[in-house]
Amino acid sequence: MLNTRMNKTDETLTFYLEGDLDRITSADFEKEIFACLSDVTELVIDLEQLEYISSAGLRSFVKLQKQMDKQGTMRLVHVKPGVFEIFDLGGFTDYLTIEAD
Amino acid sequence: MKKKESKKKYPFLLKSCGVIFLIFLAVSIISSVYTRREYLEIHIDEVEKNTEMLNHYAAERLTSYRSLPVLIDAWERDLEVYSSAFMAQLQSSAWVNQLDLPEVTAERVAAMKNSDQRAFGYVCYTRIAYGFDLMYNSFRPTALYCVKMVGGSPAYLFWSDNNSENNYMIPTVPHEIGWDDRPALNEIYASASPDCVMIKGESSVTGEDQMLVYTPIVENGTVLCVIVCAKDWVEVENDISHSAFKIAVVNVLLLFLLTLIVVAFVYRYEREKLRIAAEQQKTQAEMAIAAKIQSDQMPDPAREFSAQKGIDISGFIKPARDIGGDFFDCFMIDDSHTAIVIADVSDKGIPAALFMMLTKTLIKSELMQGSSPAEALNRINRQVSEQNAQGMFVTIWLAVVNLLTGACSVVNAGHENPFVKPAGGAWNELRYHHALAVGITPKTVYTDHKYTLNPGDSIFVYTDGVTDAVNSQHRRYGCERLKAALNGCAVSGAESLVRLVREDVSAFFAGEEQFDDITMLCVRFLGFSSITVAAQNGSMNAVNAFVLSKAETFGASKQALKEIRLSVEEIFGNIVDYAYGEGSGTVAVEVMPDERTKVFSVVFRDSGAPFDPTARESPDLTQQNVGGLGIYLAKKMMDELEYEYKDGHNVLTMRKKLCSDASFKEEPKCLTQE
Repeated sequence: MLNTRMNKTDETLTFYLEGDLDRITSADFEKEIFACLSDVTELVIDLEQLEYISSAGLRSFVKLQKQMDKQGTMRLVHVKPGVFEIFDLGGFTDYLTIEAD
Repeated sequence: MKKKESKKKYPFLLKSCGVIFLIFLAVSIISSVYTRREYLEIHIDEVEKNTEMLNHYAAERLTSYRSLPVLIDAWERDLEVYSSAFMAQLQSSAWVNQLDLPEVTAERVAAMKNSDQRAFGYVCYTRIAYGFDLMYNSFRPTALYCVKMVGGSPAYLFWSDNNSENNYMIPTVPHEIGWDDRPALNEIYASASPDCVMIKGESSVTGEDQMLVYTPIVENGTVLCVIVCAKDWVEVENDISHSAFKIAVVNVLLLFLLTLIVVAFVYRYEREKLRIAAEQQKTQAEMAIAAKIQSDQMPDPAREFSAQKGIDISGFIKPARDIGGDFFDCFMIDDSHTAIVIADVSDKGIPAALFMMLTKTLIKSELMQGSSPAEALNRINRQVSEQNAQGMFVTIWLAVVNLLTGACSVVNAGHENPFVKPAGGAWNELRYHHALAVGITPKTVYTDHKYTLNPGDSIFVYTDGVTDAVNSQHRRYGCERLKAALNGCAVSGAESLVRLVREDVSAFFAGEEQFDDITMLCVRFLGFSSITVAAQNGSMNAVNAFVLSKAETFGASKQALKEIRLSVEEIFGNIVDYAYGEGSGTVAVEVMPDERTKVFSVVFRDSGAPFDPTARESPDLTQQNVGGLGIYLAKKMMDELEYEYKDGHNVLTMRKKLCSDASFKEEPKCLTQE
């Protein structure tokens, strides 16, 4: 299960994720967020409520990063240790901008 | 052919008949010879006494006449004139008859007229002769006579024997008894002793032994006359032989009859013995068949319930006799429900076996129709109680387990408390309220008790033959020892557990005869250990739920669960993405927790194109679609990730050791009543 919530002010989009980001939920997540990115220059994704992430979720962030590299910045904030560990394992901590709690 | 058979059947009988008859014959011959000799001796003795007695009577007869000396003289003188003419002449002498003849004294006779004297002598003679005749006929000697020596020759005064037509006739010449009396008489006359003389010798006429008894009648030192009684031995011996022969014949007949009776009894006994043996053999054969039928009725849990079915069951039953009243049963009601039954009928042997078969059949039939345990027992109890004149009853423990969820409904109808063991915990007796046994009253109402079994939970049920087993020290096996035995088992497999408890019970009452049927049943709930799903993303949740519930039961911590979840997702996702290309197929996911090593393994099998995901290098993160990232993560999460291509299947096994996790030591969830 994954619940999403977003908050858009000017060109800053804050996206809240709650639950699990796996190969099933990540597809929906990608569709949803890419639809809102047209004029966004600062993307903040709040992972405070994210409990689980799999490689599919990681891939979604890689895709997002690549898109944002073209139009602005992306930050992952409030990343929990358990989730951070997965980012770390995959070596994503250098590639993505991750702000752990 | 038949005769031969019967000869073979009765060899002992035939031999015994012969032996018995020979023994009886020998006994009878010996006894008849002995009897003859004995009889002879007794009889001779008797004859001697009788002969002497006869002499004595004859002598008394004579001596009762006070005028005997005169009479003897008269008889000697007148013997020749006692003719029929003379007798006719005396018919008129009526006066003589009026006299008391013996009391007439010699003086009075001397005073009589000569003709009266002669008449008196004659009348006395006839009286005495008549008396002699009577005595002869009574005693039947060879001869009885009275003799007087006249000038060295014997003059016979009276003579009675078998040949004399007229005993009144006094012969001048003695009848031939083959004996010369003169030497004996001369001696008696010479000695003038009143004593009897007995002489035995051989008769010159018959050539047989004879016995003669002489009784002298002595008065004033003078021998008046001598009574002689002769007895022929041949007669005596003939008598004896005849009697002995008759007795012997009767003996032989009796003994033969006795032999026949004994033989008849032996024959009947042998025949009865053979018949009983045949019957016993038949009964034994029938019992063996019955026992086989009954044991065939017992399910083989090892065959019917492999671990694949999510439940591990093992049962053991040993009737006290060939057949018994205990039974256990376990069968699948449908794909996901298993029924488990153990029961004990209130008796042993054939009646219990019949009742047991009835109950067992009814239970299975009811449950297969979808009844809950309580519904089944309510119906069966009504049915059984109403037609139960023998008052038999059966205690039943009955459970239906949902193998998917572990939910189970249990009814205990008067049966022993089960022992339960939560996964990783200890065995304990589960005590709760029991209903009455089935068959006692149709009024009993049974209700289902609901439990949830967690994978790894075990139940042990048994009949009282286990706990009531008494050893040579008269001690019961008992629940405490059973509990200790269960907890002492270092194994968790149902079969090993039942075997160990069985060995403990056997060791306890070693040598003692088994009194009651012994039955035990161990059930270990595993849940399904494998699921097969379509290789598509939609199956993801089912696979996750399945593997995680297993891991949780096995004691995985929250962290470990997360790691397992990630690995399962990555590996399953990999199969979904690559195994079947554009086509479709299935994935079998099997969970194999190893209690001993605490390693939790998950095996994924697909029949897609051979592909080893573990062979890929670490992912290149700069690529848009980072290939191999999932497998890379799974490798990191798990202790081992192993691939092999086997029998046309890609087999990927992930393993994680859980024991290092401190949280594992938490008490696992127990079997709890809802």
